[in-house]
Amino acid sequence: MPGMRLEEQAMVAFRQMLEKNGLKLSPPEVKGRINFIAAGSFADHFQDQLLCEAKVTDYLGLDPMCNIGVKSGGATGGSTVLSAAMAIASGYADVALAIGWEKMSEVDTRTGNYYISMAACKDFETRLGRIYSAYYAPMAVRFTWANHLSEETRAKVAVKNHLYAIIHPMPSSPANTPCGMY
Amino acid sequence: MATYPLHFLECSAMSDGAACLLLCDEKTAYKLTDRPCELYIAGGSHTLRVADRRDMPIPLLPHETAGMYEELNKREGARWPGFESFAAARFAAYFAYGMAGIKNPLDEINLIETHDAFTICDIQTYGDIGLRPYGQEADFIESGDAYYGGKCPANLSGGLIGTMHAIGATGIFLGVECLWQVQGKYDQFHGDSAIWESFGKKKPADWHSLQVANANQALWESHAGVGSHVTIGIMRKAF
Repeated sequence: MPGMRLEEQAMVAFRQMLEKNGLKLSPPEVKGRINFIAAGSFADHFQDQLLCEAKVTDYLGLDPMCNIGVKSGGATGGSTVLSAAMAIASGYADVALAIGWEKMSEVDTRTGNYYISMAACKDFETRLGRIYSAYYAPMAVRFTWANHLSEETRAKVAVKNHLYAIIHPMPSSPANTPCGMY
Repeated sequence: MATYPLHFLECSAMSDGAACLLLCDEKTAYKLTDRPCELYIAGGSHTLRVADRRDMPIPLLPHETAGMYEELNKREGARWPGFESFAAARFAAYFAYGMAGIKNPLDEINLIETHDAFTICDIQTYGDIGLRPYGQEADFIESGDAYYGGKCPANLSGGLIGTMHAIGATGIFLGVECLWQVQGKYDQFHGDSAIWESFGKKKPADWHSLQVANANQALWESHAGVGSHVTIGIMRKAF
């Protein structure tokens, strides 16, 4: 949430996991069993802090347990879970925490878009306006041409997801937008 | 309009957020909770520049048949994955389904959470993970399958477009939403007034549950920008 430090955000998620899920062990007991941490964030630039995972691990009271920072663009979260899963599947760890965060409010929208645009090829797509949506736009044009996709069908996806967000306590963009007004 | 042809409402917003999942071995899982879930997870990747992705045969998912894409391949300018699809997603789905023993995702997966950073990549994904054949992706939303009450509702969390895209947390948040659905905990984490108040919000008077009845398996997809990296996770009820 804006106003919270990234470690504090991570703590909100961690505490919810420990305290609200009806776990059969107490939070200190669960914490004591964690023997690997995979920690993901998209870009150090957003937080203006390298090695955020070290700060988060400390703040969660998990020092000096091993943590590894994971980055793979927008797939960072999934890769973080995959890293934790590999630690368990290999037998390296019994209990692994997969935790991720982002604090995009640290920069303005234009700067944030530029950072994300660098997750496309810097020699080509990034230069298309240096914004995130610019590298989905050619895909949208091509897909529309190849598969006769209508704007209305795309709108239905957006309307549905904004509408479901109204029922979620944590959304950034809940909305009830009739498709015709899209 | 954000970037033609994408409108602002089709784009996810910059977000702050965090999410976590606790993974453990089977023995520990049953010590920790009465509602553990099994996790199957696989990843794929592809070269960063979309135009450099060479044409290749489509890897078929278990329910797809040899020859089903012959007509698609004959269309003008046809190539796969091209700009229309993501080989990384298809690859990740291929391995995730193999690990989980899934033969037909539309029949066996009860809900999905896709990486809808923009509406277009959401629609593209329907084909990559086999909810519809390539070329027919739009039918997944047009048929009603993607809605609550449909055959395989998509993004009941609101997804990235509606709820959040705090990028480092997104692919974990989608997994959490899948977990809560399979555990039958949707109402606990979305309908509790105390949780709404802790985020400075008031629970709507017309709030209603989007819990999928008897959810047994849920799939989530975590996707990087132009499809350079994709991870697919499947949560399966183990209680």
